[in-house]
Amino acid sequence: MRTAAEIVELLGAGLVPCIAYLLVGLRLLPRLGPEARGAERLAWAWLLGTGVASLAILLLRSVGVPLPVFAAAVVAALLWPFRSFRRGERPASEGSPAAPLARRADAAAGVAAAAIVLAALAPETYWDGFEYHLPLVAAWTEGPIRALPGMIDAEFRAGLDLLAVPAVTSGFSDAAASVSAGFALALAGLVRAEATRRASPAAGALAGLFVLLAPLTVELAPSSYVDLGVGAYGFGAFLLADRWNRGGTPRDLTGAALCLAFAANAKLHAAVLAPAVLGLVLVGGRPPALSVLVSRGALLLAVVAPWLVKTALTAGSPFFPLFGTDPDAARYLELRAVRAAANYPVARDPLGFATWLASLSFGRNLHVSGLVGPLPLALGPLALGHLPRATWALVGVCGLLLVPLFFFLPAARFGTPIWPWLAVAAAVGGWRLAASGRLARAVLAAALALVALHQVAVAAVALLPRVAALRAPAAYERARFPDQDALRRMVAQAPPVVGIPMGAISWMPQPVYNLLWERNGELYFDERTPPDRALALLRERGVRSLVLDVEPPHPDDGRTGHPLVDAWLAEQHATLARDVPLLPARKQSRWVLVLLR
Amino acid sequence: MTERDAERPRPFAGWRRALALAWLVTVVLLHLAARELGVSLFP
Repeated sequence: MRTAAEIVELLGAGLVPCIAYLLVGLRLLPRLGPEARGAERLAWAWLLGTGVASLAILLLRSVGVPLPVFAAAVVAALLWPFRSFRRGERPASEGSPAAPLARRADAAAGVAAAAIVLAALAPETYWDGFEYHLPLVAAWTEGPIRALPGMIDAEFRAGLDLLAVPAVTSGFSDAAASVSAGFALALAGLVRAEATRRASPAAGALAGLFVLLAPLTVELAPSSYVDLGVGAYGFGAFLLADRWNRGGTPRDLTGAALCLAFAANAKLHAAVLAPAVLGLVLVGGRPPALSVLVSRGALLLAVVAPWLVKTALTAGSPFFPLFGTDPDAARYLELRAVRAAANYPVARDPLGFATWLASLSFGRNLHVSGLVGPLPLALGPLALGHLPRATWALVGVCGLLLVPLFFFLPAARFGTPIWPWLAVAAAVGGWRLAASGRLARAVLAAALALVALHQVAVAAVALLPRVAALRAPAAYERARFPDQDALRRMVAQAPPVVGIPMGAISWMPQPVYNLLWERNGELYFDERTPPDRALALLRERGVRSLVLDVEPPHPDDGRTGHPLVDAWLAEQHATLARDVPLLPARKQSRWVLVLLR
Repeated sequence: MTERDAERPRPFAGWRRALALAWLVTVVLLHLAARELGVSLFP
């Protein structure tokens, strides 16, 4: 159980780095960011500050400079009082003060935001978070940024992961997800502002609220997943390109280039957004001069260059795992394609595409269905009508981007740069319906109330136990993943390094090696690999024991059902630890301890 | 009137309004059925 003082420390570890990133952004905003005020201004500052801070962390950690929360506090203190804190002018388009409905929606959004931030400070119980995001950050806080053999995720972009370095360095890995929560708030702020401009303050405030309540946000915000961050950068780039198309200034394109670079620094496949945004400004009715495009392209390249250099140094190719001849990289991409097909087993044809779109609102697939909520599909199409060229260009580019998403990355979380536009469209569609008479307004209000009630209930079930877990984190972890808690207890008794078959790496009390090929990038832990080769590789990585899940009958006959281990047992390269209780794994399986000789 | 004001779609009327409302109610109910009851035509 944590004491009140320890909870305050945890809050500090989560919030202080975030405040430092925000202040960095506020400092840079007048030169590099778009014109904005209020929550939108904070959102743009957050995007700018996190992107720049991440690059600074990359450079400093590459040479081993320690960056605890205290360092973030010093940065925040140095930047705290400065002139650009002054509010910007209220844009003429905002018009009259907010209506009571907008104020109530904003107040509700404030409560939702507070719940999301607090829930983000609970233990990491989201799979990719504890399996590779947090272990990667931990590895890069224990030593400088370097190649990490047996951890292939260290060779990919990790710009957003690096933002958790201060919290993890100071021993508060539970605070890492505060960054993701920050991006959820930023997305809500950007959607709110854009929907206000395109519809009304009430529609904007409601759109911001429903962004925070959307199932996808509730799922991702309290985790150390980076998809909301990639989504915020990508959406930001689209917003600024659209702003340029509508008569904006070259500074909008500077901001768009920065957002694109930050997105690519966070996930390499987000680089596809760069040609998409370029296409948007070329067909949006106001193509920029070549010199403007070249200078923004050069800026983009300069901002992604540190990651190109890092990856070239540690993986041998600046674009690893793309465009290389490395057989491991090729096999990795092959495996990912198989995973994408298995996660969403729908034929990649026009009917499958329509099915996928429908599933985003109502379906049963864990990775896709219902995660954007019903309102984009229910209200978004109602916004269609007589649209200007800039908006048609936006619709066209985002529509085209859906095709590669459907083929290669069908999970809903990969579409985060596009989904916010659906929220904006829903706001415009809702505004149109609300203006269509009393009956329409009444039905709309009832539908929104029903959706809000449902989403608040779902969010409460997901988030409130996490808020309670701030006090008792271990009990929460045990309740969420009893098998991983048992694995942790098994690993505690094993000589390190301990090989484990995927799972909550960041929970483990000793150094572990992930036996899942998708994570280690070098070893298929099955009959595809010759036993001698597998054993030699594990010894090279310092692995001295394994904790494995074994189906019944549990290994009374000395066999585990893992082909490599059974071969080692037969050849006496390994033994089963008989004096260790077999703790329960998933379903009927038990964890067993195997000692390598 | 700003440029954004000018491009705002006009309110619905007549059969278009009825269709829009039916669409809204259908999508919301199908979503709730899929999320809470697991009833869906889609995977």
